[in-house]
Amino acid sequence: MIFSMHDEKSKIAHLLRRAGFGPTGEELREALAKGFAATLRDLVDFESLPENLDDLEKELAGEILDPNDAGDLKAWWLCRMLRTRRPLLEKMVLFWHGHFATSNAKVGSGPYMQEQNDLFRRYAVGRFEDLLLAVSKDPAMLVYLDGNLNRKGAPNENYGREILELFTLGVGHYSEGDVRAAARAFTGWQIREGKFFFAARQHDESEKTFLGQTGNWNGQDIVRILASHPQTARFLATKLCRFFAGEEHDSRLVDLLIAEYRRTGGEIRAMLRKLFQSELFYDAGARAPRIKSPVELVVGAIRALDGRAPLRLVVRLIPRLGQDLFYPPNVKGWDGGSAWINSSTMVERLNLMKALATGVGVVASPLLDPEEWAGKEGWESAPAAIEGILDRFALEIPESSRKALLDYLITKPRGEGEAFPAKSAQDPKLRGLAHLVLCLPEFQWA
Amino acid sequence: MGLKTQTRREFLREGGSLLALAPFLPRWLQEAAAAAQADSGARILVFVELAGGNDGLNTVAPYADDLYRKARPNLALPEKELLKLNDTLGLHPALKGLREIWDLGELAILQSVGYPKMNRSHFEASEIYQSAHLQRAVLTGWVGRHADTLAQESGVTDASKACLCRVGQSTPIAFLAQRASSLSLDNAEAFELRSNDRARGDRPLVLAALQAIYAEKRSGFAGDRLQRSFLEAQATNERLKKAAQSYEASGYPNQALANSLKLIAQMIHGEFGMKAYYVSLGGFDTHANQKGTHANLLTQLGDALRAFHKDLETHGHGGEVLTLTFSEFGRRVQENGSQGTDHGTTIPMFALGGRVKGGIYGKNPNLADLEDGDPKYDLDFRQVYASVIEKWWGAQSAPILGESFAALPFLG
Repeated sequence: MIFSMHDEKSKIAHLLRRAGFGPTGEELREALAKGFAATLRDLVDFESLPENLDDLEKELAGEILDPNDAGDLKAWWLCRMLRTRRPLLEKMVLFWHGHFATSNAKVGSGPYMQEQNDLFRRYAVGRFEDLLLAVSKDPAMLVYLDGNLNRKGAPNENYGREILELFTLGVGHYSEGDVRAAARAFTGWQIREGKFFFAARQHDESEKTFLGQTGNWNGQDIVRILASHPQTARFLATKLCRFFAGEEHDSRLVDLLIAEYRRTGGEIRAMLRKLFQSELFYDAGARAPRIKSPVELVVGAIRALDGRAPLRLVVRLIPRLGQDLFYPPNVKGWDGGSAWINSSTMVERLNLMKALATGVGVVASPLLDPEEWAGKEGWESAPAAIEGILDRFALEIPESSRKALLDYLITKPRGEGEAFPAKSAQDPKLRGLAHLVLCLPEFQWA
Repeated sequence: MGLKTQTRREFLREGGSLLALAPFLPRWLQEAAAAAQADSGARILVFVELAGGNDGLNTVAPYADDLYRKARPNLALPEKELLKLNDTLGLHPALKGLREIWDLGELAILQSVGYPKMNRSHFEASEIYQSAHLQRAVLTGWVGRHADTLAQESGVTDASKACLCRVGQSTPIAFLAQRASSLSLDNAEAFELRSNDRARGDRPLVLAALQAIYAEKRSGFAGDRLQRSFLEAQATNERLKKAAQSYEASGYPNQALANSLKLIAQMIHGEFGMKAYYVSLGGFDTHANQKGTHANLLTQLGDALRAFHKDLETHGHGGEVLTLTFSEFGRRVQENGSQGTDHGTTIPMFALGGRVKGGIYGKNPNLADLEDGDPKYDLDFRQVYASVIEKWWGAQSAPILGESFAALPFLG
């Protein structure tokens, strides 16, 4: 399906899918009315939009969330992703959760995990150095990578190693000596009464040589040196490009982001603005299908359908697709990209789409109201219903898939029953249509 | 034994109805067709996790040891109830099933398995047993690494074709790999695409639509991956259904572990080509009121393994399968104040199968020479893995385990 790359509608849809979780019907209409420049501005400089937590309250109405319960924690975050007015912010929280991967399987504290989540939200698009320093003091992280056990005379290298290998430079850009120096610099960084505490007597004050620089380094110095290291700029720029622009993006995007990092002293927001403003973000490479992570897929589906989501059910089912919020498989986070897809996860993904569109067992999904669709939207014929739903989802699909959807709608079911547009067929057929649309490859990727 | 079921070779020869549907064959089917002729005797591992920390001392009990009874006034098993293996050891009475396999000479008991500075955290100890790394590194599993070597050697590039299968949810650490991939399935319906439960008449139409949608080629790497995975899922679903339908099995008790093992037996018989299966039985973290819980769990374990062993034999696969149990740690020698035991150190591992040389390997836990109140280890668990890698799979173990470990003779 060829469409004009420069067509503003498709640029906006692409931006909303990648920089957020995909628009609701209302958000898409608003964005198209505002135009590309205003949409981009509101996305990146999101403080201008007040975050309306009433929406969150409404969504969770009647649910009492227990911060010690992992399922409730996931439901809370999922709800934020669904109802936020600041999708780029929530998407960055998700990004940082994968980057500074911390698992509650080891941390064992819902409140610590929530605190870390809020930390990501606070520092998501600020200076990377500030984020890195905050993470180094974060209780969940101190437990997860044993920072809490790291003391003078008996240094624990876990954090020292991962901060270099996974959070800033990447493999091959430091030596074992640097790992040891970093570990010693972070000695004494502990938790006391649930908060960060610097235990001076446990801190190794001797001279350390770290990445060629010698001094009586403390953890702050390590953070400073790393944040200003050119390789950190490259590492982050590469990761951000892959996350937002997929696996086939133009490599010049990375260079643009590195330059922006240097120019602004590591300001993430500036890098993101540069990314979304660049024509390279809208070229064929960047638009090449990028598989949605399980969370993006589910949040995107619920948003597009504009309905009330069965949150607790959804958070139980998402892990089957290979992504368990607050429980990344290891400190590397999730590989992402095409790693989300294999024959098992494919079935789980499509079956979750079925649950969202039609329900589970005898319980219909509250996510969509077929009567309302047919009535309000005026979908009185099969072609109108198909165009209507594809328009709402802003999807371009091959002719053969359109035909498949049409055949489905107008064919009578086996046994008893009518085909669309008969009134009695509206519920099953429109739900079935939604199910099929959510299963389209075009919806499985962004 | 000639039971009339459809093997993978037959399925491929017949062409399978699926092939007519798809405009192109997933590459694995082409590779598999070629390999089908060359398919020699399989050497399959079934890795059974006893999750929570199994109390080894009451599983394989030193009935004549006074120290055992002294440390466990409530929990020590009465001598007359134990299933005696020799003049020092007896199996927990619930393990009748395992005793039968012992009598066939096909059960090896590996005693005092552990490693230096044994860890007592569920999360960390489990990682250690599954990754075979004592220090946390980027995580891969020992079985996953073996599968990667195989993938590399055979030049198989299609990483979406799984050769490892978890019965249960999510890939276990032991199966994590750089390239090789695993299937996870709960049951034979795991690959069934679902549709509106309240509109069953619509189902064939929904499935037809999905097939038509995924029959159309989409350009690009991601599109290709989605399409291939969809087709492979369909093919797997069909094979699973066929394998389950035509399989005659009896003697399996109706419980979760047995059901999982039965599914594995069906897949082995259906020649799915898996190198290893993983299944988990949970609940072993018996800090309180251990007696009833442990007996219950061991009954499930013994009965399920016995049924599995017998079934494999009946279908002619006895010599092809090695079953190995493990647990992340054992439990303390000294019972606690809640009629239970806390996290301990060494474990016994069970290895069973048609080619296993039955017997006791390794020294029994020496209750007179404890460290921090718990037994020292005798066999490093990596020796057990080395035995599997070298003697069962005929491969080099040092590259996979990071060092050389002396293999044990339970596999000849």
